[in-house]
Amino acid sequence: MTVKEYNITVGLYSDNVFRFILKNIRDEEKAKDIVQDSFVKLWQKVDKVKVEKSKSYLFTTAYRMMIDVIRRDKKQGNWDEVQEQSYSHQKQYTGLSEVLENALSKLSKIQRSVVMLRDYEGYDYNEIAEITTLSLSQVKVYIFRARKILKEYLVSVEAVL
Amino acid sequence: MEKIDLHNYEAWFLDYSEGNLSQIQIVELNQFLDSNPEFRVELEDFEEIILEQDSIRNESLKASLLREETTGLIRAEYLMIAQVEGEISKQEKAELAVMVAADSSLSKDLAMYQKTKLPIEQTIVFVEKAALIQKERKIIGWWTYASAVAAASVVAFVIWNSNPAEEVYNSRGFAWQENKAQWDDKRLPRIVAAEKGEVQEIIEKVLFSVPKNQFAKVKRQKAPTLSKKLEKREIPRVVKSLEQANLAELPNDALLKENKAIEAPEISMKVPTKFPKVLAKIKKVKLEQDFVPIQKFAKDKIKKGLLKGKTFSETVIEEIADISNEKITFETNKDKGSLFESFALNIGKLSISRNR
Repeated sequence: MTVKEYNITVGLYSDNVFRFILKNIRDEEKAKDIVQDSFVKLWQKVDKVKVEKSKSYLFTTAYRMMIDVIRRDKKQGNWDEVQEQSYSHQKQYTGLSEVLENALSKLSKIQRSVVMLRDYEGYDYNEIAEITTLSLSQVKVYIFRARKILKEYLVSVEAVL
Repeated sequence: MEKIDLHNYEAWFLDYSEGNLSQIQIVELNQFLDSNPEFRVELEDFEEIILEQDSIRNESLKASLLREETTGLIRAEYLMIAQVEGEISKQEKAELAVMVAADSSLSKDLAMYQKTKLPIEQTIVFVEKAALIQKERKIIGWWTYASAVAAASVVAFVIWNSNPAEEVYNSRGFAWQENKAQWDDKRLPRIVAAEKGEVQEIIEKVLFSVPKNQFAKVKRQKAPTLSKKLEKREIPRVVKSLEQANLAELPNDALLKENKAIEAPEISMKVPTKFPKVLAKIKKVKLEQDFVPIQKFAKDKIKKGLLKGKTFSETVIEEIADISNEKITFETNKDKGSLFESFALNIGKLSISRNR
């Protein structure tokens, strides 16, 4: 990948990676750090990573960093606290988006990740498996079960409204 | 089991219909029916009743209870999600259509599953993109580095031998001045570069043709600032003498004379010993910083560039461009499908090219 291609990659994917990480860990500062570190890693391998693989490389790197952050925070015991306090975007959503946003919080972290990779980024099961280091069937199971949970949440909300 | 008769024949019929009779008992049953044919009709009715019970099995109900192997979801759910996911086969699609037609509640569920697709999110953006952008730099191959070394030697030789007596400051504030005093190589400071072991070697290569009896005079650097309090109280005279000693402000003749001072370990000055920090600062302002041998000057420049992460070629090119005021460019060209790549290093009107 050339420097020019790398810079185009920044323009194309930094928002996507940031969004993906932010929605997962719900901490803006940590999400920024992860995005920056991911691009630093990409830059370090700029000669080796092909431009067509750059998006996948970025998401894979960012995903793994995010898992490390989650594990570290869990050890420190402040994960839930961070999640509730620092995420303010929730209030911006209205209607179905807002409901879905809440519904996402009902999913496990891994379910949330795979659904977001699927819907926001349009990755197929193979690509998601590569990014998350899950097997193909695991990805399928996580997505299908996540959809069921999301649907049940929507039904329950509809019943209340 | 008791022998079949008019009081217990129904129990025999039931056992027969359920296949619980032995061959001997079946023969016994047939003998009973031969002697009482009116019961044969009753046995046939009995069998029909059993068959009727078997047909009660509801296949659709059974199917609805089965779970899909990989996901553990019931079939209808699996098919609806597969539909939303776009992972449904034609057969499965037809199967789902039948299910939805048979059960109106499924169409509502299907609509709800469609809503679980997350809408494309554009409101969240990464605002610090600019920090990620990298400046475009040319990556120069190993052998072009050799070209740069050769070119550096040529240019350095031309520059340093063209008009050594002329003293012209360039944009970066240094000029060249010949000195007749011979400098011993051993006196030149050795570059310690443990992490970059190759630094010494490559610098030696580029400087092999540079005359050792020449000096780079760097424009006066500001002496370390002393606190106003100290200046007023204790050392105003010392600071003044330091400024006077700066060679950049002296005429050329004086400059040549003062070159001897370089050999002195440090300037001798009277400084109150009770101000060790001040003394340390003044000691740093030795003439060697203002007036250094070309080799040391070049070595320091190149080493600084290399340790900053610049490539050797970049550092050399940058320095030569600055010294010579020439435009320096590096060009590569490779035709598609060709095995050869051409490289050209242009220094002003001088061009060095190669094919690989």
